[in-house]
Amino acid sequence: MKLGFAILFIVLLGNGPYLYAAQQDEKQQIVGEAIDNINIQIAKYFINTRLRPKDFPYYIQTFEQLNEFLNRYYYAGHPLIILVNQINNAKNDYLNTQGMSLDKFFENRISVHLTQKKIIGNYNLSPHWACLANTFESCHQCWYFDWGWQWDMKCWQDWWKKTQWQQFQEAIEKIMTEANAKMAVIEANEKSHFASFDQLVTIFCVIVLMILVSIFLILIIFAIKKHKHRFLIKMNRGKTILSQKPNHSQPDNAKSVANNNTVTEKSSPSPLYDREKFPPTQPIIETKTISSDMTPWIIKKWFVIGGSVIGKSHIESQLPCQDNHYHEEIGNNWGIAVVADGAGSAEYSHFGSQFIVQKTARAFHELVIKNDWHQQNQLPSNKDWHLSAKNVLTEVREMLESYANVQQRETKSLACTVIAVIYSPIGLLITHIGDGRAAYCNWQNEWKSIMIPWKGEEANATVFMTSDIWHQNIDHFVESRVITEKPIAFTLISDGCEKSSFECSQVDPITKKWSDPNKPYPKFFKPLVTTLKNLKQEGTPYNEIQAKWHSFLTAGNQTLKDESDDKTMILGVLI
Amino acid sequence: MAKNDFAAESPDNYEQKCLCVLALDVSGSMAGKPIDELNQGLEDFYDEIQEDATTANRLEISIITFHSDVKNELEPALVDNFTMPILTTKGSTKLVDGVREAIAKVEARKQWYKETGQPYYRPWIIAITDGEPDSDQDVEGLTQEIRTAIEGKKFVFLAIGVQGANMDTLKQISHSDMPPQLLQGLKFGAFFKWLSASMSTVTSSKPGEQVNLPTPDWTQGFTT
Repeated sequence: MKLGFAILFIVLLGNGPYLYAAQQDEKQQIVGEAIDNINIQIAKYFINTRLRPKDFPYYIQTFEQLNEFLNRYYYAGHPLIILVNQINNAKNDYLNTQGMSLDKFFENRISVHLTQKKIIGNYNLSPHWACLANTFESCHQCWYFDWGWQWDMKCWQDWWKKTQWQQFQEAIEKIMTEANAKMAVIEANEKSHFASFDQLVTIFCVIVLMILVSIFLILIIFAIKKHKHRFLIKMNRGKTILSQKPNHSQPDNAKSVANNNTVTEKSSPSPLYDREKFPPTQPIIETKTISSDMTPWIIKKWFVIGGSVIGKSHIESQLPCQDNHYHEEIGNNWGIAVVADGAGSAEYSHFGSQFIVQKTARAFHELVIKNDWHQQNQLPSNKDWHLSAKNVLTEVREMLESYANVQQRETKSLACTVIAVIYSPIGLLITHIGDGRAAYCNWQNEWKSIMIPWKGEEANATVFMTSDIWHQNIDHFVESRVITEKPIAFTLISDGCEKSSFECSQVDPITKKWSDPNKPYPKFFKPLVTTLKNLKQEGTPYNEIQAKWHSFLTAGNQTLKDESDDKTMILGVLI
Repeated sequence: MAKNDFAAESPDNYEQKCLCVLALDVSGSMAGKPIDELNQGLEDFYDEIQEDATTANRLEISIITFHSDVKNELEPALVDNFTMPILTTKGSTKLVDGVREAIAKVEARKQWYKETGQPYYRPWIIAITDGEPDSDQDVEGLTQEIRTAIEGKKFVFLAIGVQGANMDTLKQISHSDMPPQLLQGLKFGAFFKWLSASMSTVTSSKPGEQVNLPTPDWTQGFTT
């Protein structure tokens, strides 16, 4: 009978966690639903404002993936059908006058949309002109867009994007509020439910315990009365058993001492629910707003291409290409890019520049790892960066000297300039000795230069890694910068490319004064960034992109073709 | 052109200038075939430069002729802005005065470059002669001036000797880094072709002790 009571007691107690688990499941479900709804909104927003596949999230690389994404989230709720019905009700006669059946028209469009692999380009779910609206404003239900002439007008685009973004934000707000409300309801229930249940269980336990204790006592008294002498013997036996007990309890004490010595958070009895089994809810419920770059869903990665091509004059004087470049990833979407331009007058500068790019990249790579900037996503201060950069370049310079000794050459015969850029999604670190140019593009699509080439009075005069600059005013010759604005693209070039890609030599027609604006030419870089993104997103193999880049640098336009110096250009874009 | 090839527009950048002063001997001894070949060579030089768009925007040419007198035939100008003069011969050979005039021209032009703040490539002075300079010419003085200037990286000096020239004198006034060259026969054409190629090389090499020029094919193997 006692056993029976015990079992009942345990069963009642045990139900508690299960009830809690059910509540957790419900919570998970709400979270899942909210995520799905949000994804639907994303898909809708994307389709309604994006015209090109390259604007889709990075993890969508192929049309198959895109179809999957759209099928899962865009068609949920079949917005097309709703829309079709709306339009059907309002505008049927118009289309009839055009001699076209509405159903047939939409049927074609929808089937084209779903079955054709080339889904991009057939977004024309239904033509806007079918709404007979003269302006977007008067046609509120048309949340889709079309490819037609209206899209060409930028003002429509802007208005469209703005309203879509607003709608998107509102929809997300609504979803979040609803989800949060539901969660609140559950939590409230939890508390009251649990509270009352808790109380019941406590009361029940107490009653049962009291009953059990009283029964036990009665039994004992009764037994003593009946078998007094026998009980005395039992008591004695009990005593011996009792004396053995301390041995048994010692390990327990030791264990608890050990527990207290180790760093554990539990000083109170363990909670009713297991944190491992019921993990905390997803962060999505805690956040109320989504940042405008939507990072939890869109993770862009750097894609970098580089090339060095020999200049016309080098071919004529039978010199090799004295430019070199190198780039590699460091980790967590950080990387290092280096360009070195060998001095034309130095016999072995092609060896020098190759050595320098490799060693400089390696040294900066190690610097980032050592400081853990990439995992912390932390940029150093200007002062620290300049100091570190100088140290690294000094080290590399010494390595170059040793290399020259081993090769039995004069160090000056390996003369070259160097530009090093550490790139990351949160900013750039640049340092350089000599000439060449570097720039980046920010999220507002503005191209800005990030270094000033060291030039002398004579055109093409500059300093090199091997020049006698290390013992004098070294800070005058090593220029370092920390760019804290987020970049979406960056470039490094040797001076052979500067005339083609930068505004660097201008004469004022009135004053006849010459100046170097040092401005990256947007009409040069923007199409290259676009082409690079397209090539990458279409899955073009890297060596093919490399080959295209090479031929572009060689003779991509007349200015590049006419350039007599070696040309090097590294271009990195966030895709 | 395949789809998705890289294409881009380049800005209009002002070409930095390189001055080349030709100091030409038009003394009586050059009469006949030599002067004809020289004139032809100059025409070919003119055409060569015009063909290359970059050099055409970059190279400024000035011509000084010397005989018993020194004359500025052409002030520094881009090829688009002048036509080659046709040279005639007479008189003796005032080589030193001619070269001095060329040096003065270089200095004046550099002044102009500095006033406008524009960087410039190191100017060239090329002296072409077929004979002995007049006895009253200050060869010693010129030697000093040229040596100082070259060591001070003021300009590049190249002396060309046409058949019958006194190479010793030319060797004396030239710097050891750039010894005088003897023209093969009357191959002015080949020389000027080499010169235009060198002009584009000059613009891509960085100033140092040696300029990596294309291999000359117009010399007669007189090298030191």
